[in-house]
Amino acid sequence: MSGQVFLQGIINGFCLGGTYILIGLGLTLILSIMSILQFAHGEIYMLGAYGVYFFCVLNGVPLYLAIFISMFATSVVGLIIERILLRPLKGVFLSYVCVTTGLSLILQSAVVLSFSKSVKQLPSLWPGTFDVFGMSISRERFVAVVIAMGLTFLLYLFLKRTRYGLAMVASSQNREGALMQGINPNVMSALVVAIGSGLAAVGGALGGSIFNLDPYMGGLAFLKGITLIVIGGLGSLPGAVVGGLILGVCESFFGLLLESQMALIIPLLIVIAFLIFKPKGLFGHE
Amino acid sequence: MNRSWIKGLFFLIFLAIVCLLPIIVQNDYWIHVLILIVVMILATASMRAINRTGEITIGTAGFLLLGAYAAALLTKKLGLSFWITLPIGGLFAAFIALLVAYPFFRVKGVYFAISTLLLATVFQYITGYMYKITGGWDGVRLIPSPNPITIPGLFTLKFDSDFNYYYLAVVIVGIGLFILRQMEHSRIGLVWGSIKEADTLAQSIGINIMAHKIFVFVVASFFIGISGALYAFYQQALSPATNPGNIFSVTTSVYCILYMVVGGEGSFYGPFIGATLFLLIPEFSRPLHMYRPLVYGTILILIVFFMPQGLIGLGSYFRTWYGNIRGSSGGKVSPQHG
Repeated sequence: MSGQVFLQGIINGFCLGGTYILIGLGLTLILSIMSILQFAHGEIYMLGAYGVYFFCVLNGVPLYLAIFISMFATSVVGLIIERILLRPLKGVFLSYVCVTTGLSLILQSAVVLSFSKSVKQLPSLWPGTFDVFGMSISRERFVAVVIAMGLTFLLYLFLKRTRYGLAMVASSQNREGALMQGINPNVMSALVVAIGSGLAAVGGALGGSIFNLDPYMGGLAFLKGITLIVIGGLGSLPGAVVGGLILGVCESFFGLLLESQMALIIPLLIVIAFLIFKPKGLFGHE
Repeated sequence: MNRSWIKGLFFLIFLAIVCLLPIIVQNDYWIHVLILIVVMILATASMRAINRTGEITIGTAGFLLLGAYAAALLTKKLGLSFWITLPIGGLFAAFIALLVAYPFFRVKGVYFAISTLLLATVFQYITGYMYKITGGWDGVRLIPSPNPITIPGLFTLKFDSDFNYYYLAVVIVGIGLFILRQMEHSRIGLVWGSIKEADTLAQSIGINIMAHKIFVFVVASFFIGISGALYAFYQQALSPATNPGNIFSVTTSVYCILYMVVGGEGSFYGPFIGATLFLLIPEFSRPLHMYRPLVYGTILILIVFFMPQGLIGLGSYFRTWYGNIRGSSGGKVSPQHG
């Protein structure tokens, strides 16, 4: 394998990882603050992509504006879900599994009913490719990574520089302690689901414009999200970013080296090894 | 005073219904649904045994796949009899469970759940990848029916029709459920409960948590493997495809949890009710076609919200009601162990 192909694989991997990060961030935030494994998060991702489809393709709103609108609309959906479905269940893991699974069924069939099962396409984020040192990098993937990294950076600023962000970090580290300091856990969980849903929606829009849209795209995205947050450490934001990049690079790199089937297995095996030997992940604390 | 007598009567009625059902429905399609229900009850009850120690597994489908493939391939490639490969299917699942149990149980809660989820996915991919042995993504086809039992001079039992296979499945699943139930109601079951409620405390009084968890994981995987093998010989075609319609996909693992919670996780009979209800809903909501997952999801959420004990909780509700009517202390309520 020549150096160029090698480099190309790594760059593609970063691009792939960028879109995974957005779904992973939401999952890891929700998991660390509410202790919920949000099974419907993949469907939120799908919903965001279909939101863009609705605004952009069906109603002629410019693509980037449509992504913006879809992000807010999905956040509102997230808020409603949190208020009606998640908040009333206090801390029973099995009930959360059931309710979020029921929710993902409902969202899937709602989308099937309104947009039909057929595969849809979003317009490209930026058609064409860059040619750098004889490698071709697709421009839309580049844009996707820039957007993903930008949003991650904004989230980081929010968590480190604002009152609510600091409160969120505090309650993810020690829920009781945060409660004692007067941080309202309900506000925190509403905020975290809204932010997570918004990020997943953008992830869905980016993924949907690079690949395709179909009502069942959320399942695989959810699996990728789980994988990357385990690599990075459940509940850790820098972990999610690094985990996403590692996952993306692993996939495209092993995809070059091995048959594509095996390339799917290896990241999963890596994750299981992580879970067993380093369950707190790369950046986990406690 | 006559509790055990009433229980026995209920059990006999239940048994009679189970045996008469295929004669009543008289329809191959419904017998197909019944067989599926019976197989899933065993898988869910086994998964529930693991949950008794407080750990949740989202990997049931993976062990179903192991049992099904081991049994089917041995029968198809080596020509072994069903009666040998069925237990081998279970043992293979149990063996793999034994291999992964120690590292997996070093972590708890969400970590364990995610590990099992990913492990089941790995099984699917590996099965698809090893096409020389397993037939790859195309799957295995034309798995022979179970060999007939012949008692010379008396009769021959054949299992090539769905009707007869149903009774075979009922007997095997019945044995499995009986063993699981006896375990849960024995000292071991109490130990599981203590691990679930307070594992540190259990450890402090000398219970080897790891050993018990590994034991229940291996036993449960054995029975999940058996249900997988039963499915394989009934369906006669297997595939590791990852689409949600396939029995070996993540969906089934999650549905097993749903069956348990909807039925009532506190009771051994919860999975019976949950699996029956959830596998029948799609049949009765067939006219609704497009809206089916919508109905499914809504029922699920309503049950979790309004019947936290699961459907089996209705039983204790009625018992209280009956007790109040009699105005005596006769109706003791025990929602946890129905």
